[in-house]
Parts: sequence; structure tokens; C-alpha cells
Amino acid sequence: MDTPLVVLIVLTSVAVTSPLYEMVFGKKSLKYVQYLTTLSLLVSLILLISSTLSLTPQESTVPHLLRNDTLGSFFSLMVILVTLFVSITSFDYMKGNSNERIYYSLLLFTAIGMTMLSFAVDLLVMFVAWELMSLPTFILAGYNKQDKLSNEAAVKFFILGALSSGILLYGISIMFGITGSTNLDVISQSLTSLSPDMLPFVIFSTISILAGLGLKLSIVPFHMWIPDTYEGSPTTVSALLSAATKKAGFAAAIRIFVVIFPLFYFDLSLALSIVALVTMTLGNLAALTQKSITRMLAYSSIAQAGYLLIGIVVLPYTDLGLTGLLYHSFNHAILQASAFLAVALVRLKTSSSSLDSYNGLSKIMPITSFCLALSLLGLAGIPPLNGFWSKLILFAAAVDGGYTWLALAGLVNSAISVAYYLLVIKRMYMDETSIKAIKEPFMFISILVFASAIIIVTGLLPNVIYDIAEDITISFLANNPV
Amino acid sequence: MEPLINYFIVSAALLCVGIYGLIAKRNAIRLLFAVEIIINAAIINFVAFARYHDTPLITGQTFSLFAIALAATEAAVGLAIIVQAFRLNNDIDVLELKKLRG
Amino acid sequence: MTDVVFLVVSLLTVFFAILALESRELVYGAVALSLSFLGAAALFILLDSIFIAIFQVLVYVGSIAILIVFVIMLVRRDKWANVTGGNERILGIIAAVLLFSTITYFSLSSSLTSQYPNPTAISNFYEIGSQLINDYWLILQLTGLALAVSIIGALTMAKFENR
Repeated sequence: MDTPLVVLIVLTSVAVTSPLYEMVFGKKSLKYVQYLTTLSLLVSLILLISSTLSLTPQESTVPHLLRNDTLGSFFSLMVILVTLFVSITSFDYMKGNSNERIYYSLLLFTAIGMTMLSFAVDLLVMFVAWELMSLPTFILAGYNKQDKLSNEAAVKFFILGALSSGILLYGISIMFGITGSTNLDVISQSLTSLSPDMLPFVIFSTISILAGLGLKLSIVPFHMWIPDTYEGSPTTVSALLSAATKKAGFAAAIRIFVVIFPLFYFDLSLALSIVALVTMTLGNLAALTQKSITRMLAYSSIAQAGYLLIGIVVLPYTDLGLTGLLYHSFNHAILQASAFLAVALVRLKTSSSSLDSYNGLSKIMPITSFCLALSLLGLAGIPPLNGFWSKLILFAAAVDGGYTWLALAGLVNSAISVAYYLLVIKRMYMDETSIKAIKEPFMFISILVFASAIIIVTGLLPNVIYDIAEDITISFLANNPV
Repeated sequence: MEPLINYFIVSAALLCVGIYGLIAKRNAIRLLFAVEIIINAAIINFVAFARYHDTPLITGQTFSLFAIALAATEAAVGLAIIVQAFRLNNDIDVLELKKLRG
Repeated sequence: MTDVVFLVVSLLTVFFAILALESRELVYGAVALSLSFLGAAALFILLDSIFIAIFQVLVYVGSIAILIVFVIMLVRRDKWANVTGGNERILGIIAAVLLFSTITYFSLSSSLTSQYPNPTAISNFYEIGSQLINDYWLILQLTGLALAVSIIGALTMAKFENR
């Protein structure tokens, strides 16, 4: 079954028609939109889970554009899961917004873009899916229209996003010019028989593509306005940006780098390792000094992108790198989404994102603070939560690939990150507050609890996701030798 | 006919003009100009490479159609955001947007 | 040998692009941008891609530039803040010149200098259409969705709410 196209049809049918329901149903249309959105995301999720677990490459209707393989369905599964979390929690978070129905439509469009990006094997499809993924997020970042911070986040995010699209397009154009095609298989074939004086063009194209992808992956030096964006936009949107669009970007990066690496893997790998090091370090050090929790989480997600980049760095040397990348992508998506959504609930109920409002949170909003604490511990990599295992695999892969210094840097950075994560937990559990208990909305809490359950279960039984990641790695690298 | 390199240099020049604009300008609409210039440069690249390739290539021209359309959509979205920013701040100087610092 | 027409057109395109960024008034900048786009369309005609040239004029000049002019009318201010821009400008010029010289140096020493056009790769409307429908129909649908997003999103963002 051609999963990407079926998912496309399911999500598109709801996304395109939901702005129109208001005309037909009037006031009740909001409920219908919410139900339909959730339903379509659930259906897509089930389809993608069955496609991932089948572990055999399947037929694709457009094999030159989309490859229906498990790598794509795995990444697509992650992003749809995060979008599902975001959409259900937005029932409460976005209540009262003047454009509530359009919000769900835009969420679904982003999900469509991310799904297509995960499956794409043609640079043209990647670019169009990239735009389809990014355009709704520009609007979503500024969704609180009367809020100046939200609007500022949208402006900055748009400028940077448009720039990254432009540079990505320029890099793709050079790659097209050298190889004569936008299909990644044809590109990989023609790159092997390239005349050596074209090498500067390949380098230039690679740098451009990396620069274009770099914004979504939030790697240094393209992380400029990421913290501003995550802080200003509605926090559920920040969850979507940090947990989902980043993963889709990594899926595209994996496919592209697998094609480019055989040409000059030593230099490219070395350059990427330096980028990874700087990203990790800058993210972690900057997070230590933040006073607002959304900015802190933003810098922490920049640092996590550094860890994920390690997987790409050792891609030509060891298979473990790709496995670690897949595994940590899944874990990080769940952890980051859960953390941001918990923060969203606190922001909704207390109208504040500063760290001071987290004093004594455990007495006011016990379930929320427990879920937040759990996801922060997972992000820090504390055993036996899932973050520990995936970071372990990533650092082991770094050692396996000959980058021991990078693994050591990763360990040091993880240790630094424990500091600011524990700071928040300390505030929540040990400090005093004078606010009375706050009621926690049911749907919101159920999503947080569900995410926490996933964190705990995949932490206690790491083999579940790890085996899937390993199988995907084996089948992907069999088709795309590096 | 001139060699391919001439077209490539033209598009590289436009890319550099666009990058200069993004570094040096503060007005949000000027930044949008710079982005559009960069995208235009990429499209010139596509059409030129398609014309000069050994085997006949129409893919470049088809790609440029999609790229032009997507550039238009991006401009529309960006301009809507800028309009709303102007309503809130009465100013579209990007460096004046300092509320998110700190 | 370089064609005179090509030289003039390309110089004008780059000149108007610079003018678009540097002009004193925003409206002049928008007009210069449209002229730069027209220059690009002329380049496409020189490249025997008439369809793309028409499309460029219709979409880029006909909608994007017009849209920009409209928005400039909407965001009028009596007095813009002074463009102080000392440091960033120099940095920008240095970066641009550096990048351009690097690119030119590397490309001049490559084989692209000797590549000449393929006489059969001319813009063929039939082939473009058949490629759109047969090979790239999925991308056509996705682009349609992107357009839908831009309409929905831009309307949502720009609509006036009296609250």
C-alpha cells in the first residue's frame, strides 16, 4: 500500500475543507474541525505504524519522487505523533483565539509537508514539501495576532525561513546543474563519474544546501532567531517547531548526505563534527543563563540538534550512527514535545514563562510538574529514561567512527545540561509558592500523561525502538551504500 | 553564444547582492527584496543549466515554474505578517523589534 | 565572445537589484525590483525559454511586485528611522564581495567556461506540459496545496479584527 499517498489524501481532505465548515455548520463547526483533525491524524498514525513495522520496502506509485521505505515512515510517524499531541493540547491552549478553526487546518498542512519531506527522494519534491511545511509555521508563529511578541517571532522566523528557502533552492540549482537531474539516485550515480574540476561546485552546493537545511535543524550558525521564535510564538507551536519540523529536516538531511558523502567524506565529516561540537556547546552554555523557560528549552533543543548531528557525522564510518540518529530522533521528539506542552499548560494557566513562576509548581499543578520533570530528566539523559539509551548509542557511534573527542564533548555537554534541567526541577519541587492549586484540563493532562508513559516504557524497554531503528538502518543502507 | 559560465556569474552576482541585503538592511520589506533576489538568482541558474546540458533537459524549466510559484506564495505570507507587524508597532524596522531579547 | 545584448541585460539586472536595496524611497525600490525581474525575464528569452519568461513576467512582475507595492502603500510612515547602517553595511559589502570573488575564481577555472548550448534543448511547451502531468503530477498537487496554505494563512494574518 502506498502509505505516503494515502496519508496525503487523508490529511489533505480534512485540511482543505476545514476552513469551510464554518459556513455550513456555524458555531458547532469548531468541534467538527477538532474531531476530524484528530481522527485524520490518528488514521495516518496507524497507517504509518503498520508501514514501519512491516519492515519491508513497499511499492510506491511515484518511485522517482517518493520512496515508500521504512526510514520515511519512521520519521513521518514521529512527526504525526507530535502533531497529534499538539493538536489535542491546542483544544485548550487555543481556546478563544479568533481564528481557531484555521489553526487546525494549518497544523494539518504542516503535517502533510513534513510527511512528504520524510519520504522524498527527489530534490524538487523536497523543496516543495519544505515550503509546504514552513509556510504554515510562519503564520502559526504569529497566531496570537494581538500579541506583539508573537508577531515579532513571526517576522523574525519568516525572514530567516525565507532566506533558508532561497539558499536551499540555490544549492539545489547548482546540484541540478552539475548532475543534470534532481532525483537523488541519478545524482548519486552521476556524482561518481564527475570530472574533478566540478568539485568546487559540489562543495558550494553542499554548503548551500546545508545552510538552507540548517535553519530547521537549528545548528550553529543558523540558530540566530530560534530562541526568539520559540519564546514569542504560542507554546504549542514551539512544540511543533522544535519536535517535529526539526525531525523532518533531519530526514531530508540523511537522504541528501548519504548521496553526497561518498565524494569527500573525510572533509565533510570533519567539518560537520566541528559544527556539531559548536552547536552542542553553545546551546548548553546559553541555556544555563536563561531566565525564561521557553528560551531555555529553545537553547536546549539547539544543543540536542548538535547531538543528533553526531549521527550524520559518523554516517560514512559506522552504521551505528544512523541507528543512534533514528533512535534519538524518536526519543527527542517525544521528550521535547512533552516538555514544551507542559510549559504550554503552565503558560496558559499562569500567563507567564519566566522561571520564577515555576517555584513550587509541584503543589499547584502536580501532574504537569511530574510530566515536565520526567521529560527534562529524559532530555538530560538520566537512566532509566529513554534519553539515556539513545544518547549512549550516539556517543558509542561517535567512538566507533573514530570521533572519540566528539563523544567526550557530548558527555561533557550532557553533564552541563543536567545542571539547568535540575534547576527547573528543584524550583518545582523544593521552592515555595503562595498560589492556590490550579485545575488541570483533562485532555491536556491525558496527552502529557500519555507522552510520559511512552518516555517511561521506552526507557525501561529500550529494545523496542532500538530494534526498529536498527532494522531501518540495515534496509536503508542496503539500498543506499555509503 | 556565450558560454555557460557567464550566466552562472550573473546568478552568483545576484546571490551576493541578496546576501548583502540580508546582512546590511533593517527594513523588513527590504529584507524581503533580498530574499526574492536570491530566489530569482536560483531560477536563472535552473533555466541556464537546463539549456546548456548535454542531453535535452526540460526538468530545469519545470522546476523553475514551481520555484516561481512558491516564491510568490512565500512573498504573500511574508507580506501579510509584515502588515500585521506594522499594525501593532507602527514600524517595520526589524532591529527595533527588541522585546524578545534577554 | 560575449554577446552585447547579454552583457547589457545582465548588467541592468544586477544594477536594478542593487538599486532595489539601496534606493532612498521604498517605492522606488519596488519599481527597481520589478525592473530587475524584467531583466531576468529577458535573460530567459536569451536562453530560448520563452514559456518561463512569460511565466516570470506574469507571476513575478505581475503579482509579487504589485503585491509589494500595495503593501508598501499600507505601511506608510511619514518619516522612516534614519538608515544609520555604518557597521552592517561594510560587513555586508565585504561579505558579498568576498563571496562573489571566491565563486568567480573557482568557476573560471572549471569546464563551464567552454560549455555551449545544446541546440535541441529549447523551451517546448508540449514537453513541459507532459512532464507536469506525467512525471511531476504529485509536485503539482503539493504546489496547489502550498498556494492554498498561502491564501488561508495570509488572509488569517492580514484580516482586520476590531477587538
